[in-house]
Amino acid sequence: MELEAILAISMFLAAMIALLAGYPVALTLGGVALIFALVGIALGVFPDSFLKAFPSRIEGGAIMQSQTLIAVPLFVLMGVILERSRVAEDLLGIASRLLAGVRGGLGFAVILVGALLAASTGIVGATVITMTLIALPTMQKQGYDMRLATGTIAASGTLGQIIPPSIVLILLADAISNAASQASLALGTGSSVVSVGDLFAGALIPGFILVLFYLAWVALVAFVRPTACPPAKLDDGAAPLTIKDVAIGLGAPLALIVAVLGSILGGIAPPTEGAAIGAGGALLLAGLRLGRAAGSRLSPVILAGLASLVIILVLRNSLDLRAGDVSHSAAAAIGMGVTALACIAFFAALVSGLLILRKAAQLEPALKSAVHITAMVFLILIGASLFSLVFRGFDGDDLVADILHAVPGGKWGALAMSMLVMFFLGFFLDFIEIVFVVVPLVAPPLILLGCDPVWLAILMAVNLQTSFLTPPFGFALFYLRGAAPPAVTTMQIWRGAVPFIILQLLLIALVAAIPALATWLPSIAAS
Amino acid sequence: MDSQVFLTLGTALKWAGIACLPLFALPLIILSVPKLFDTIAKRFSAAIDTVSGFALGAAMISALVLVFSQLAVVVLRYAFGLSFTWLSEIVMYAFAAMFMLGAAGALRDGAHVRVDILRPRFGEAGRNWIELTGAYLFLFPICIRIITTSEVGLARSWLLLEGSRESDGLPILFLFKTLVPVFAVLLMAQGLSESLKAALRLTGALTPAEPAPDVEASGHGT
Repeated sequence: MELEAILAISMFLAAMIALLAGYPVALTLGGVALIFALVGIALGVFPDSFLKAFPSRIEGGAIMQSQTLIAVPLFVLMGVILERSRVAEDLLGIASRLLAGVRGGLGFAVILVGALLAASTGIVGATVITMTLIALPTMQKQGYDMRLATGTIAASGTLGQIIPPSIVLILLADAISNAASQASLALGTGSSVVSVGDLFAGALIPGFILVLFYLAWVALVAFVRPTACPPAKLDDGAAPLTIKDVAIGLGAPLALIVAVLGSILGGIAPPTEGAAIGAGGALLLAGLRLGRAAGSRLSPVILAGLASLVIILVLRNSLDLRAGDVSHSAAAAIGMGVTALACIAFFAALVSGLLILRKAAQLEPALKSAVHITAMVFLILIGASLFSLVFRGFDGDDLVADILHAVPGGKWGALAMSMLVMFFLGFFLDFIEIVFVVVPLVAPPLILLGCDPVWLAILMAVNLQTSFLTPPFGFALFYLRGAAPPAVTTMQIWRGAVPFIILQLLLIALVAAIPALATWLPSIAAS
Repeated sequence: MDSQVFLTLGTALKWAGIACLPLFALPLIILSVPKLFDTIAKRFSAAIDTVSGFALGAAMISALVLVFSQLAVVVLRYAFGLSFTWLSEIVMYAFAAMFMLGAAGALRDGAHVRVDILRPRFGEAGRNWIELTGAYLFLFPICIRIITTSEVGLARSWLLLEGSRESDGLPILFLFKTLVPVFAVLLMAQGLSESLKAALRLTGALTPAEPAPDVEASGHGT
């Protein structure tokens, strides 16, 4: 074997071992790569120019000037603002009180709220912990089988990975798109672009099916073993739900999700703009929620802001407001004036939302945790791009391609092998690292072997989601263990996850067998 | 202004940086000669933490600027069919500033993801040694590499006072590019602060901090 190949393989292995030490992943990946690059330069098998390109990679279109990735901090902000304004807790409270009387009702509530939170916040750790803290004690009190309860919570919490608008799908879109254009370059065909919108559209049907699977499973258990999930008797002395409570607590987050997803999937706004709408909407919702609780005088401003949004939408679609056009009718001129006023009202409402959040002492923590999460993601991107750069310098990408081509069974064999590797890496690496390190290596050869990029990405996403749910190393289970009362045993949590893992595998098989489940929606969204 | 001034300034900064390099031996000195520099090291580390805190604050403001400017882009385009390059550039600059300035503060607050399968088994001393080794083996080399390799390109950018390629863009592309070394310097300083704290904990001069299992801080699974 050539020296380069040996160095490439040992670099990969060294990185995996070094990661176990528990130093920040981003720095470990970059640091190991740098050491191997220096060794390679000393041995004369690594071109020095590769390292010189590193700063320009950071400031270039891949990281600091990436148009696609701007959506990431915006969605993170949307998530943390909703989390801080206790929208999640309201959702779970309302859903469980609505469904409590049904057999398995609390289970259904957890799944549905998990799906909604997945679409709004998409932060797995936070979702699992919130639901464990709020729903698990209630389920325990009502005599739920703890295996069913913990399995439902852990599985619903991981939905944030797959249900759009998910941050990991944005990152995956970025990686898969690069891989697809590399593959089409190698094939000599025209450039093929995989957009974030494509992956959002592609993940929608599989995500829905997964939620249906979960619901069906809880329904089945409720039918076969009614004692596992009895109907709940909630008498905590709280006032009965009013229609207004339900409309605000349930309807508002739903409206936000529909607005964000609708604008992206409907092609009205690119994902970055959709994400900004999401962050702005979250700010208004938080203002509404916290302002109502505190009886703030700014609440009317927020309502006026929401009303002004309707005005903008109506006027924009009934009149020609384009400012560049000189031949305006009187009606259009008035319309423009009104729209401008509405815009001012909208921004005033946003500022009020900020002020209300600040008064509730939630603005600073929200911004801080948004910066923390964003810095974490992008430092990994920086470290992983140094890693990929060096790996490529050793021709490691060709090596991976050769290995995948040599796997018996062609496309399916190579796909199965990549999926297995990613599944096991998912035990100790985060989705983000796998997307930045592994996907760029395995995706181009897989696409060359004939895999559809969108289909491939959705399979990878569901696969990793499964691995986060699999004992003993699944991340979701760790979070659940951390937040669950000690009376719940780890064995119960592990056994509870098993049926949901089987459902996940069923979905992977289904999407693998019927690629249209992932590719149909993006194809009609494109045309 | 004569852009040659910036070049002189940059060279001065470079030598100031090189003069600071002995400081990076401080954690090792604390380990080999306990008690001698303990107070200085604590103050120094606290000062670095404060600076990272300021940068984190700037990143938080950038986050707000990002939301508002991107929403302005959306509203102007959707309602009036207007688009401005300078506004889109504000969006991008705020986006980049958010993580380039926030990375050091995130390191301070322990927000960068770690693989924590074996971590609890290493014990307090083991974790401190890993922190020290990681800083010298991984963090410092990466940052030094970024600083040294970005020198030439940055000097050219400042000499030209490089602005946007578009005529209605912002004239501050050189400041945007300066975020790269600023990021590296901040991160390196914070790495020094973290290894000082680890060394002080190892010699017993600092009480070991029990890392609280914080959901948000670990940031996993976003």
